[in-house]
Amino acid sequence: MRMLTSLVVLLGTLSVSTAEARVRVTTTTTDLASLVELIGGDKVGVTSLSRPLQDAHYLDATPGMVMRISRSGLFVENGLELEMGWIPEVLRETRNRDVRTGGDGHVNASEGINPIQVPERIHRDMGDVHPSGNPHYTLEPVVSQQAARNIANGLSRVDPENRDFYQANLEEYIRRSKELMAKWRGKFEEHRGAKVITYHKHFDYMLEALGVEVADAIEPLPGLAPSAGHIAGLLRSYDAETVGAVLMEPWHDQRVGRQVATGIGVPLVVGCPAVGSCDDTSCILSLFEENARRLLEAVSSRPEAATEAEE
Amino acid sequence: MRPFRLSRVAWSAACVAAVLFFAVSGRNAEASGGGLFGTPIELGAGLDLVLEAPIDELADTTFEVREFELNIGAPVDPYFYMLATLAYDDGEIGLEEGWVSAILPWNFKLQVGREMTPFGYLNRLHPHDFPQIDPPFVFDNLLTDHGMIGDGGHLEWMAPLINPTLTLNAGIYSRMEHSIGRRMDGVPYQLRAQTYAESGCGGHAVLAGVSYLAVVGDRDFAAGRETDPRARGKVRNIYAADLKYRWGVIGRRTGRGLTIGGEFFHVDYERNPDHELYNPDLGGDPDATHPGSDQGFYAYAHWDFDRFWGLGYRFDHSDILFSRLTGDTREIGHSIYGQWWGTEFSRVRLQYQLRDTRAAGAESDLEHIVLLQGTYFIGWHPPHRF
Repeated sequence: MRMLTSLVVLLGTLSVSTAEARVRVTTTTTDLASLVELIGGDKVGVTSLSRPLQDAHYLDATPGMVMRISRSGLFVENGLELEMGWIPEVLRETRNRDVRTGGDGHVNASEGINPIQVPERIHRDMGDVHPSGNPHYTLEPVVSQQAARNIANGLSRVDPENRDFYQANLEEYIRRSKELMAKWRGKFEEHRGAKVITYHKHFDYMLEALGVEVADAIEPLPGLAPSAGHIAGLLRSYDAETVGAVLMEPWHDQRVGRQVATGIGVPLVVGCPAVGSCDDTSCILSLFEENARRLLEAVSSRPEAATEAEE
Repeated sequence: MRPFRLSRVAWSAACVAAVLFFAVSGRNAEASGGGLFGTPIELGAGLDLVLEAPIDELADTTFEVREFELNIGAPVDPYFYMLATLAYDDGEIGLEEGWVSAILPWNFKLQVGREMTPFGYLNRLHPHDFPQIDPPFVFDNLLTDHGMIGDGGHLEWMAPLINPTLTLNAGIYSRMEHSIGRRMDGVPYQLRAQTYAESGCGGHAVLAGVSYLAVVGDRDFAAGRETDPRARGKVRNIYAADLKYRWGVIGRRTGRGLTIGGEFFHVDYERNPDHELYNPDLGGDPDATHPGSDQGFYAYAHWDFDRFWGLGYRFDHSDILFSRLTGDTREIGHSIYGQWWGTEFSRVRLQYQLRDTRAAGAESDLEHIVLLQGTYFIGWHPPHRF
């Protein structure tokens, strides 16, 4: 009985000691965690459920996720079905009603965003298509302004005393992201209309913002492994005159990306898929900047300089 | 017989009607948004096809629809979540699961209805989600051939800890059909403690649990047909320990990593005094045998090259239930298998198995078996847990 009492007291102590004055925020991705940090500053403590180099499409729901969200004042998800394979289970199991969908502590960061690539019809034979559109909007900081707005509103709901602080940081983020975008659009001006082959549709928001077109994809359909026939088709269809680079995420088979890039005679760019996944990508703005820099370096190079831009 | 069983025709009609209803409503492919009457209702179906070929007796090769399941789940309101699974297996259609859960204060959760009891690790999974095509021998031999499904419920508590976590649960069931519960003389109850921890970088994760299942009180005991040797015994206690470890190679290909898992089970039992072998009124010998216990375990290691391809090996070692009453017999197995995921919704697996059955004083009986499986899902499927 004494042991049981001690255990209850210990757990109670742990519970109280972690109840800090800062708003405890849990996000599904490091990109969203970065946005929360930019908006919440020192008023928040934020943790991401996925790591920078984990593909957030494919995680397992774990008891650790359940308790982390249960003990949060605010939960931020990417939305657009990015996390639909695991977040519904975590939210169903969470002990905190406020962070469930519809609660004051729940933010779907994609609300109000105008997504690209919304399919006109949904069918599984189209591959792993997201019914609501491409979910990787956090790779483009201006589109992410709406996500930042949603986060600021969520923080204001759970911590109304600091509403002005959050709104001021939101305005600052909007200003910085506009400036950043203007800078990089200028740098890409001479490459408008350049074409790249991507692996997955991960960087498409960024490419659209910079005026770079997607000629084709290594995945024959979203989420499917490329076949030898598909790769051969890419090599037959494109050359260094029609495509400027191959752009891929580090969590796909880089041998395939390298094969395509080498076969066409263009650089392979292994992009940074999330905040913290590469050096100099500590926030969502520097993530965009680093990816834009890598891409610019690749499309600026001549066809014969078919080097790998991977770092 | 399972409780609440309607005729096959009635269930078939109900399933077809449900599918048509949701399909016509246009909601079946959408897990979020939309929904029936403006309410998100998740609906999905899965098909599990298995071919089993004993190499030495190819004429006995079987191909079957091992399971077809229809899953329907949704929040009922802010307080309750409901899930129902209708399943076809072994030529019967029945309610495999049907429960509601509610989140309670102080980190408690209550789940009541018909559920796969949270005893051990594997019992909470449907057969198509097992790490290999066939259930581990110990699962088949000591526990169940259909999953320990109970009518009742369990209360779960999560300690306010994030890493590691601690989860305790206690359940009680009026009955457990198609399982070892048929050989338990009383109301089954179970206890489980589970912890989960992961490394800071997220590359390593481990889940460990211990479970206990026993009975309280007496009730009508239906151990099975007298011709079934397992009618000779009554189970009193079952203990289980399970472990799952995952090393995910983060930053390389998605899904690449090593999974190691296993479970150990120990079953205490005694003779069934009503059985003709032990009932003196029926000419039996009440001192014929003494109480005994059986044990078994399985352990496996699985390597995923990426999220499409994987290879694995499983070792099985298991007594057969009531081996002390029916004659010492145990099974040992070695299985190697490979799998290919087309997408998250389709998978093909191939498995070779060496099954070694050993009775006391007898020579090994070796079987070489090849299994081929395809699993396919349309619509929604309950998310996978670690």
